[in-house]
Amino acid sequence: MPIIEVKNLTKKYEYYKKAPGLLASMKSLFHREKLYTEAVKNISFTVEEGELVGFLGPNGAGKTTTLKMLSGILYPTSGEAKVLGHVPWKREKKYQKQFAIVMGQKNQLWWDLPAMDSFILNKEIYEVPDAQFKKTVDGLAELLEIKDILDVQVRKLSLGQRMKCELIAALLHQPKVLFLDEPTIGLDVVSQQKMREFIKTYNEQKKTTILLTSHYMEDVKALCKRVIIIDHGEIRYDGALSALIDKYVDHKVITVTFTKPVERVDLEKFCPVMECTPLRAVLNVPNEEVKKVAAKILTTYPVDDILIDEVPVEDVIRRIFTTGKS
Amino acid sequence: MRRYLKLLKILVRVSFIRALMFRAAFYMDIAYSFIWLGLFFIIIQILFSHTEEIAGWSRANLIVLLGVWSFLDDLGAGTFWDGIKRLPDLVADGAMDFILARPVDSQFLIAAERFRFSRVLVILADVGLIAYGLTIGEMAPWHTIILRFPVLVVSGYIIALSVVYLLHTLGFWFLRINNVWALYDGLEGIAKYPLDVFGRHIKLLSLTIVPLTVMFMFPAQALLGRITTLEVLYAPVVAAIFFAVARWFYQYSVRRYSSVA
Amino acid sequence: MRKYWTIITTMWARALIHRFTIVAYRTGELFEIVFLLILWTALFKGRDTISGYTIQEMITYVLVGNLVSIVTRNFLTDFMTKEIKDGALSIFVVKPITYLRYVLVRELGRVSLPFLISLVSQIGIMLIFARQLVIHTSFVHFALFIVMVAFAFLIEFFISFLIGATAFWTDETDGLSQTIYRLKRFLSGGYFTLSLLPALYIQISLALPFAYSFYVPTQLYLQKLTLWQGLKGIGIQIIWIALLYLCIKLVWRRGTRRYEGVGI
Repeated sequence: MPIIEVKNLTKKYEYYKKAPGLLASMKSLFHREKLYTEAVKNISFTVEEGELVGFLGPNGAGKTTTLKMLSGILYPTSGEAKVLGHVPWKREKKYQKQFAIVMGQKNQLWWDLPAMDSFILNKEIYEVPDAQFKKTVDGLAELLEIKDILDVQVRKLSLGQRMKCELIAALLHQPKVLFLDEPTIGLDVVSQQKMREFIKTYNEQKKTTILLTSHYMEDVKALCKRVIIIDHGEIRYDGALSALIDKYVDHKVITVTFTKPVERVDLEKFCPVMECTPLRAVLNVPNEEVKKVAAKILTTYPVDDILIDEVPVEDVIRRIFTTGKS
Repeated sequence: MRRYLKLLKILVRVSFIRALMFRAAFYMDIAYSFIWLGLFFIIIQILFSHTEEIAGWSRANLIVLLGVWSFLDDLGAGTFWDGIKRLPDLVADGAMDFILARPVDSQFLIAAERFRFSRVLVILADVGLIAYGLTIGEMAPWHTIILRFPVLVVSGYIIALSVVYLLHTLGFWFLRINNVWALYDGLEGIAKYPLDVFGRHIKLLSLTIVPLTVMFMFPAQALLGRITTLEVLYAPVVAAIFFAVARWFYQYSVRRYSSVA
Repeated sequence: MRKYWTIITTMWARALIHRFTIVAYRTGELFEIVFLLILWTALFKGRDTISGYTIQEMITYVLVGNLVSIVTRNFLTDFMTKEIKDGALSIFVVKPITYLRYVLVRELGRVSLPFLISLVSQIGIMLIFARQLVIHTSFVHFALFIVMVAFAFLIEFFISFLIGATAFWTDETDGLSQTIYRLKRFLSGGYFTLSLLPALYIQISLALPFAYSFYVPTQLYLQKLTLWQGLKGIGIQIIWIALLYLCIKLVWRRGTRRYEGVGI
């Protein structure tokens, strides 16, 4: 039985059109044009227990809205969803005690008090037994290397430390499902990496089902075997990351450096040229033609060095975002 | 439930820690409260140097009324005021989402998070003022006070809580409607005076839609022995109605917020 | 898209609620005025004068005094504390005079709905009690009256500015603001005419700036002060204006330095 089941989930926001000017304002007292924006359009997917799934998409794609619906914060306009057998927006206490949500850069901890005080509150809210509480806090603090800052006021901590505390606060009650919304946003490179390592380890050890949203490719690359790409409210891709690359990558990138200047026009006879300075060119070459083109260039031009590379995953994703319907 | 008592204990402790951290604000708050109380006390003294009574209320009576008014005001300000005041901002900043995702009653969590310990001391002064007013004037027999006063004070407290919640629940509908507290504050301030002065219509209003008489005058009347059993029974009914309306409006607003937000 | 909805409701709500707030306070104030009038009417039963006032003069005192108070008041403190907290002050940090002028012009230009409501409702009450009002037609007294009210506006403005500036140092501006407001109301004779107080307290009150927002101009209007006393009053006002101005400069310099340093 899948832990998370989403079927035809849709979220529409209403808003009123406001035209500028006095006349329009007065008209608007009597009649306002209602418009809709669909944040999430008819999406469906399932997640099994223990999976670590990445939701990837540009800002405004609908990732956060989806997470909010799955945590019961928002009601959908239509469609169904079940997490751990519960309908999230019914906000049943039984369900709420089994999941946790962490949002990057949004604080759930008390700002002016040590993190430990917020933990104690959560302990009581989620009714975590004393022994388990102590064990969990100690264990997580050890793992995240923040044992000594638990008694420092949260506002005096760095963003990275704060996020770690937020994670502990969320994991105190050993949730079966964890929703992470942009957990690495705003963090420095080292903290981001530590955060990813932790999430990965936690998922492996505890088999917690984790749904992670991000617009950083790095997060997804490091953590998720499975990725769901969402854009303008629709799912563009749902599957293994490796398969994504295979499906969308039909070319390779050849970077050539020359010993003597070469005209762009000449090169373009072969294949699309991405960049061209007199001594260096970057070419997109379809997979089937790579060997042929490479050979041709080596024989025709004064080549100093030639590199054949994979297309960066970022470009793949970007391509998926920018093409309307794939 | 016991769980909520435990939570309350934690939240009160946290507020206490906060009070210790911001000691200057703590002392200033006490100072301000004493200044206000003192000012109105002086006003009463001066007004009554020229007359014996106003609308049937003597100087001593008015002191009791002032004490009761201040007592309820400080009770509210010391417990739920600062907590509920945050609601519009919680909604606007998105922190409301986290509160709603937790397996606790959100109204409780919001209201109980900011106790003001400075008011505790001021409440002692209010009680002192009441005692003073009762000593120099009339006072109802003890057994009636013990039966009636607590019921009326609790009713007044619940009405205040409900109204403050009602107003701030508008924070779900309008963004950052922080000034709403001033609405309550302005109207509440009138109740320092015996509302009998203003005539029948206002009296009726203050017994129903804007139940200032029920909240403030009834308890004072109970202390002075000027209250009927009907009035004592009426107060909890009003309190129950206001509480129910406030709770319903809050839950309705949350539903709408979750649908539209 | 959703932004539009939010912006619209925010604008409406802010305007509405700001007005509601002021209307609420005004309602409370109206009740207090009516209460005072009823009170004094009751107190005057069987007497012709209290502390040298006839009932007409007392009623005039309450009503004209409140009119003065409406004209001289401002809501600068709230506005300023918000601007400081939001960081909108950054542009003005360099020149304090610029901010002062900016805010002053804003305040003067603000013929807002709440102000009009207060004004109209006050005139309304005055019309109701028109028969009881004392009317004087001395031009000179009136001229002095106007000057005093104008200065009182400035003084109140500066005081609100100073209170607003405390936001540089503390978050707890509400308590201070409210307390100063009530003290001011008391010391200015807003709750009762200062003539009821012993002579010593009257002298102290006259030395403080607050009395000139209610008691003194109204006394002048009632011609209970001589022209000479009126001029002396204006003189004290000028001294206070200068003093407050200096305070502002001092506080501003300190405050903005802290502001930049901490970067609220």
